[in-house]
Amino acid sequence: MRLNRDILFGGAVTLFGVSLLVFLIPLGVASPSNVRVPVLSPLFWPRIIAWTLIGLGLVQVVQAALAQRAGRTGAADPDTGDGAALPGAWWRLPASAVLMALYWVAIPRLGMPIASVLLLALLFLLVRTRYRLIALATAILVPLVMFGFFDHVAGVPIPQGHLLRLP
Amino acid sequence: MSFLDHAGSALALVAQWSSLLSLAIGVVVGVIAGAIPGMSATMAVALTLPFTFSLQPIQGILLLLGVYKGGIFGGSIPAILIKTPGTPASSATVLDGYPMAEQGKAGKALSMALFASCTADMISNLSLILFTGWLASFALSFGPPEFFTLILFSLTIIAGVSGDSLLKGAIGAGLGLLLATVGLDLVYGTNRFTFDDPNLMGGLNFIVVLIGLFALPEIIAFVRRPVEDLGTVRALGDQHLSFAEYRQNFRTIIRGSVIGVVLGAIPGIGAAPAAFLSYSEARRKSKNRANFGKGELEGVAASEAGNNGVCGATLIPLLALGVPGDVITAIIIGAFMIHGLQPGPAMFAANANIIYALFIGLIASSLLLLAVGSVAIRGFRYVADVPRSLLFPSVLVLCIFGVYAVNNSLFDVALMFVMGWFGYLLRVIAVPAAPFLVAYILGPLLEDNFRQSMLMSQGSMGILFRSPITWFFWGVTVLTLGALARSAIRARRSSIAGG
Repeated sequence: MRLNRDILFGGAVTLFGVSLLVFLIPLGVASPSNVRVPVLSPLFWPRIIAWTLIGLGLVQVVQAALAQRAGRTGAADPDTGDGAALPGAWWRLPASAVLMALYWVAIPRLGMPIASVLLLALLFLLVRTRYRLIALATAILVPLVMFGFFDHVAGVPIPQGHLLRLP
Repeated sequence: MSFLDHAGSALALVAQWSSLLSLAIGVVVGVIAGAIPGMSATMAVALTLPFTFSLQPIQGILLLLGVYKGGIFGGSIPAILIKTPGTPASSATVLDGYPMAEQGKAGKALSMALFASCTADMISNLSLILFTGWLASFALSFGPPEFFTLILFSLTIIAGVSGDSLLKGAIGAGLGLLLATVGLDLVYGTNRFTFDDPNLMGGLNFIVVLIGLFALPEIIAFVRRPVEDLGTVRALGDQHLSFAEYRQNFRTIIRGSVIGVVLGAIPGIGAAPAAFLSYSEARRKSKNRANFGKGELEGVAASEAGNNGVCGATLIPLLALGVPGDVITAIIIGAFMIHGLQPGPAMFAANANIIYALFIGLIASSLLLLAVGSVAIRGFRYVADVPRSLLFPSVLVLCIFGVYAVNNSLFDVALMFVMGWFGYLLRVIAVPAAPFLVAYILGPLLEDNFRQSMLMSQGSMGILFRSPITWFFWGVTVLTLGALARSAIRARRSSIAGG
């Protein structure tokens, strides 16, 4: 199962290289019509990379297939393993992705400090920290300290939204 | 300006409280970050980078160098006390450091780690000062073809940072080269992969990519598996390092320092191999070799001298040639560029005072490391007690603010999230992120010098072989690739034979 991952990875890289050549480069790279020397064209370098990825992807597929035939396992996912982990990894990952997306959408409305307080609090809930009081204090203090440093010391205008404007 | 003029100007830059404070803060941050398992010196340097924007160039770069040096030493503290290296460079320190801690000699082991680190650091800095100028003056004769072949050779450092899978490292590098093409074309100014989005016309910001790739995957991995326990922290005990013990191991420390300097000056090798090589040489030459691995003080001295000997030396190719010696110096190149400086031989002509200021600052950093390290050894218990369930989410917020500060752009925050998940995907399929980053940084330099060469020669590839310097770099590139291929084939054969 682990080695199939390597074969799939190699196949995906090869397919990506092909799609670069066939779709992405023609669509995404503009080249002027008066390029006299082909190696100076804006298309040249991306095409070289695309061909390189195709070649490396194919080698990866062949290597992984030969290894599977020889009964060798590939690299394991480093984040699976012993039972010390909290159950529920299968939903924590997508939940954290959704949180990040919602956070980004919330910034213009709530402002970065308040959105960060909410993000932190929800992340602490997600990882089920045992230190609830400290977590609550951290969720409030860390964004405020970050806001204080960047806005007042470094002079970076942190977006504040409409609900509450910090001094 | 004469050398004395430059040195005087440099001293004026460094001998300000703001420069020394930046350096001191960097060392403190680095030691703390290096001492926290799960954070690395690389991550610490990446996270510190946004904070340097508002600083003067010399202050910003000294801050980052302080974090680098502090981080490399800081990793030895948990390596000795809880058998968990804080950074990969401290892996060899576990071998004898933790057994010493189990015997109640943790304080002695930590003191030896500190003194060996500071001694090696000083030797490394002196090597940097002696060799960089010479190499930079040689590099003044480089033109675009020579730089192209040099950077092509430098890409082979990807092999050194690819870990177990060279092929996956190469694929990661290819993706990094591709991502570096996003933006406006260097010669014609046309759009490449911008898809008419104005946010992409300037390319993807290096800091955003860096923090996304190196900091976020660790946080995401923790969210997936929120493991809190790190193990028992050993007490320091009441045994201290004596001057006689330091003197007895002085030769080992010097040997390790030289190994660190030589390996550090070669792009791509890094601190961890230097630490292990120094350790194995010390064991080979030691009268107490039977005791290595069971709590031998010389083992701790050797590994720490090896890894800290690298720090100053990795700056030799950076300052002299503009080529990073390892991933951390690749990040520091970005810091130079952010402040409008281009490291390399031209910098010796245009900004020699900054180079000499860095030299002076680095000497001071060795002394600061001694002071900060002594305190950090006693304070580690408090660092180790910071719950990871509180630390990692907080680091995410730090990343967000830091990335936003780069360009005041929410697009960068979104890009950081995307790169973070991409970096996590690379982690899951065991594709190392370091080659991606190195290729991302070197890719534009490679393409730029290639196209300048083609402009000079009107498209003739022969210009890339125009001088003995280009032949030399082509030669070492081919030799390196050949050696890598041979070792990969040997590794495959031995795994077939063993499996």
